[in-house]
Amino acid sequence: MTPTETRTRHGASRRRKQGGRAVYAAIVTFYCLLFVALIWPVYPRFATIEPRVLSVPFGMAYVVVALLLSFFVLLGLFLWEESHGLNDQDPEETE
Amino acid sequence: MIPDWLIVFLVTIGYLLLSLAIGLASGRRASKSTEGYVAGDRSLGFLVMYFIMGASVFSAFAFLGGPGWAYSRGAAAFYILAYAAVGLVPWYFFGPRVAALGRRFGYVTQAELFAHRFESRSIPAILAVLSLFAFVPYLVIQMKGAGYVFNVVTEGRVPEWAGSAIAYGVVLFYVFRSGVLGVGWTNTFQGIFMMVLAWGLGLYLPWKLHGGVAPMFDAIAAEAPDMLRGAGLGPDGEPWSWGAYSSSVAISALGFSVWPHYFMKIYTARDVSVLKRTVVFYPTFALFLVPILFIGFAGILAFPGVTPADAILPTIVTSAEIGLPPLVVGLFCAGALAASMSTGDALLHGAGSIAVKDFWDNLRPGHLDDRAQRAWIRIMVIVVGAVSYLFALIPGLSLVNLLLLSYGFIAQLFPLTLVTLLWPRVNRQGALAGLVAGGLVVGALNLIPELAWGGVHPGIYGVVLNTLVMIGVSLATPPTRAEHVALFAGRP
Repeated sequence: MTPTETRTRHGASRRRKQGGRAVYAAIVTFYCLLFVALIWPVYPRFATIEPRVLSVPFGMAYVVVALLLSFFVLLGLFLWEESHGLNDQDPEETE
Repeated sequence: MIPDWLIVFLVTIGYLLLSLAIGLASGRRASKSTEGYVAGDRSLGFLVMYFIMGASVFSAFAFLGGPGWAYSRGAAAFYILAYAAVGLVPWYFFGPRVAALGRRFGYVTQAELFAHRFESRSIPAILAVLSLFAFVPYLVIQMKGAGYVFNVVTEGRVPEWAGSAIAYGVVLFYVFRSGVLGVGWTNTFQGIFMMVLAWGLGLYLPWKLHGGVAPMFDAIAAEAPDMLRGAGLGPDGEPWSWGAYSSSVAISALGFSVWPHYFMKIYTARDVSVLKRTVVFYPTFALFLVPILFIGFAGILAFPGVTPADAILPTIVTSAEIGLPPLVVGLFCAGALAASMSTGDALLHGAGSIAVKDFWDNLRPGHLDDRAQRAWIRIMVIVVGAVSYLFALIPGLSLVNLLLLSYGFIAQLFPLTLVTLLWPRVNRQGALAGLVAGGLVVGALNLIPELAWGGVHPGIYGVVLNTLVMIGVSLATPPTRAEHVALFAGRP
């Protein structure tokens, strides 16, 4: 492998690593925000009866949507990791 | 003609026997080692992991207490859904590293990780005592729930003490024989059963009593709007404070991922992918709380004045107005038993493992060989079961207070877990000081609740002080050897 090829490969690996970190940072931020959205002072603004969503009070629908969002976002992360082969290795080996 | 109560009783007994058969059959696959008994030889696949964690949602508290909360406190019950949305997410990030360390160093309990990281015997011993104190009230609630179900279905012919004894006799038998694999496979069977039952009853009862979910909420909004608004009602029937609601969500979410008997299930997963899928799909299990809450809401206007509120589900199901056939009532009772047993079995298994591995073997290392450890874990399963059963016989014991107290203590493990894996600078002195400070604050605020401002759960104050003390003391004392810390800390 020529020095140029080695540099290019290292550069790609670094960019991938940085891209991965950005994804994890975004996911952790999302879950922190989701948690805050479920407690005071955010949730009280949405803990109302109207508008009803699929016949249930808005305050209940809001929490159910948070539950579904939690599922879909983590599912997205999992599928992304699977496509990048990140779940095949032991975390001890990836360090 | 066979009386209705006997049909119900026979269905319930049939269900118990089926659970027992599954529990005993599944244990045959495990090796005869402690690792086989406690961690299932680290071989569990997604389906069983999913139901082991799902059973945590469907405890007797959720199955009987969930409708009870919706019935007596309205929107306050949404806090259960709220913490389920985020409670297990931390596992996704720290679970794979914990599982890898477990595989590498042979851990089967939570405290073994901390013992190794902090090179301390006192930390796991403290955690073992703390865990056992937290488990007993939790187990007592499950046992009382099982006894209550038997008592109701037989129209008082089987007393509560005998009902608890029958259900937990079965649980003890399969946990004793089969270890974690017995817990896993019975929970899978019981989980599927409960899902079907929850949706079936949760949609049928509002339809039968109100003509559907929409008319039910219309009627409650018109006649008792406070039940659907804000944080619902507090235990005194007055609107619940947002401080109390929010801190209940927070303390449950923090405590959830570090309850020792669940945490140790991280070690049972076959690989990283199984573990992560379990966390990803966990909220889909929690969704089954929605119909459970519908049942409680259905009772607000149709069955006013039911006490205790937790009796609302059995009251509706067995009422003449609903007119359910005895076979269905029997299945409901089996479902309530499943809820109790599928939580109780994991607790018993966890308690036995912790008492022997983290307390005895930790304080007297090498005293017990693998075979003896396995035997003693089984003995401790029976001892903890017997002690909890004795507590369950005490009438009028305030379990809710005990459970709240235990949640406050368990949540103190959350900061410890995070720093263990993320912050190399934390040391033994810091970890110990933080745990002691957090525990003392929780204890003190439970004794003098007036000091907890705004109704905020004492555990929250404990977690804040615990974290500050842990950081402060760690920085003020010498760091742990870098080569030792490097084994644990880093990006999860």
